[in-house]
Amino acid sequence: MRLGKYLTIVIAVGFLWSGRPCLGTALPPLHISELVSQSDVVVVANVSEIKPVGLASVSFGGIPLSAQRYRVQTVALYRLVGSCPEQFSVEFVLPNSSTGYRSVKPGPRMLFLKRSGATYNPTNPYYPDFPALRFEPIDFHGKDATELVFAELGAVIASPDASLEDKWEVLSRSYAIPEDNKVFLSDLLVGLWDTGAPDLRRRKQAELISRNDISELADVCDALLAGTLSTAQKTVLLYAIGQHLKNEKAVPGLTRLLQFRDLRVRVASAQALWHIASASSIGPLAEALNDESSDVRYYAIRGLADATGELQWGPSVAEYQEHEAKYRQHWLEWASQNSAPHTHN
Amino acid sequence: MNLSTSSGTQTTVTPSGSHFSGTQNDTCITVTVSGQPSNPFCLTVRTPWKLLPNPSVSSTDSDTTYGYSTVIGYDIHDNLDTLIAQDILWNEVVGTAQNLNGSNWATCCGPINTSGGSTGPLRDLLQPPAVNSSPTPPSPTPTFNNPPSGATMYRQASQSIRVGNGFSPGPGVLVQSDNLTYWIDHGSHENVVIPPRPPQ
Repeated sequence: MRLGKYLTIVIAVGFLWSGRPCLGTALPPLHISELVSQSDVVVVANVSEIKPVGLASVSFGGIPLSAQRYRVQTVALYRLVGSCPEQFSVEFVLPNSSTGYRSVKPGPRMLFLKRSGATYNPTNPYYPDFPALRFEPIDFHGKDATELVFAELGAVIASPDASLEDKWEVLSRSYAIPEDNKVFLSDLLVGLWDTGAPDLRRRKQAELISRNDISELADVCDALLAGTLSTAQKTVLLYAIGQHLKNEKAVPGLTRLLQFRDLRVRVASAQALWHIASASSIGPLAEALNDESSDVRYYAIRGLADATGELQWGPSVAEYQEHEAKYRQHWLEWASQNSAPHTHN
Repeated sequence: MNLSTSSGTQTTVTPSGSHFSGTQNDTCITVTVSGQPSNPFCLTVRTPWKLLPNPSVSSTDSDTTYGYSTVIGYDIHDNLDTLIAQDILWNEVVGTAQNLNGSNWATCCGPINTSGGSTGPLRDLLQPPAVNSSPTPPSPTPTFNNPPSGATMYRQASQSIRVGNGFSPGPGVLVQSDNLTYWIDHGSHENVVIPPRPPQ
């Protein structure tokens, strides 16, 4: 009994000593304009091998963590912000336990740096660098630095010389590129059909749909209806359709999807029609009032409320769960009285 | 509602209740001056409800230190199932990790610290113990496969995610509970539970 109590105390002390029992790490969002404005130098450079140069300590959330200091040699290829020597070294610190801090990667990279004397350090330990191309783009001079970063990321996506890994890395950061950035949009379209990687092609299609470019929507609808997509491909495409698509020209394609047997496809289609909320979406939304899925019916009701401006008939989720019949009946009567216009085929 | 002042040309209205909209624009404010009421100013009172997986920012990559790094991304939706696009703070409470299926991952290599984050989107990083941890390395050794194919869990801990506070774990609106799960070549959130009903 006493031994058990003693062991409990020892375990508790060891537990407290070892720090907080946390296993997941929150990553801060990326804001490229802030990253640029906080950097003394933004440079595309060829990064050589990474070498450890000693121990360090960093404070993470107020907790001191042991860490390793690293140094890389770089050769500047072209500069986007500030100035730096043609050859220089970058030093950075990586804690020995998981924090989300990232290593600078070797190869051609776009580096975001703070200068301290002759030393250069990453401006943000979570985002020290991005993929880049070796050659200075045409029309490079005279542009805003943040725009140049967007253009460089787009160039990686479009380039046949960039690796698949680099393209995936750019796409994982694309949420930080404004939806209306035309350069990035056109770069997404370049080489879309040349890629031999089907997952990457579908991811690019999802990115286009998220940016309300529907040039690939027909192909995506065909693939969804044919059931030829992998689970991952389908998930990313339905997310783009259901959460981001707002282009009214997508209504005919969405109407096809709304009649499909797959519930996830119908839900995404109904969500998109809600977000579009145009006169042309009223017809399919009214038909979706009779869908067997409560989720599809909810998005139909929300879409009809937004499309007609009758916001008081667009309930919150909790209100819908309690009083679905009232709202559905209202919109069924509305549809019968207004012979919902079908402006699509 | 609280008013900063009831005289002069400007007053600040501060909501103090905890009622959230049942329909859009259902909360209206009317100002009456000298018995003359204004037109109502109507607004929608929103509150965070749930996390929605965002596959476009979710991935598993090779990592020289840990074998792999998995990022799991989410959007936050409000009580009207609308995306909250602004950055808001979030925190997580994580329970004690368990070794599973003969691994030592929960006890070999010390804790992995975390801090609060902010959304836009919310991204949770999952990394196994460092491959070269000393004096005891993780067993089995985490690795990277593309695509991930691991089917055996080696470490798991409960996790609850709240939004509205990113500085300390615990406060805020609960938007998801799950099990942080570490496999040989990827991490995941298993047994995900979102609040069935948004706050009212």
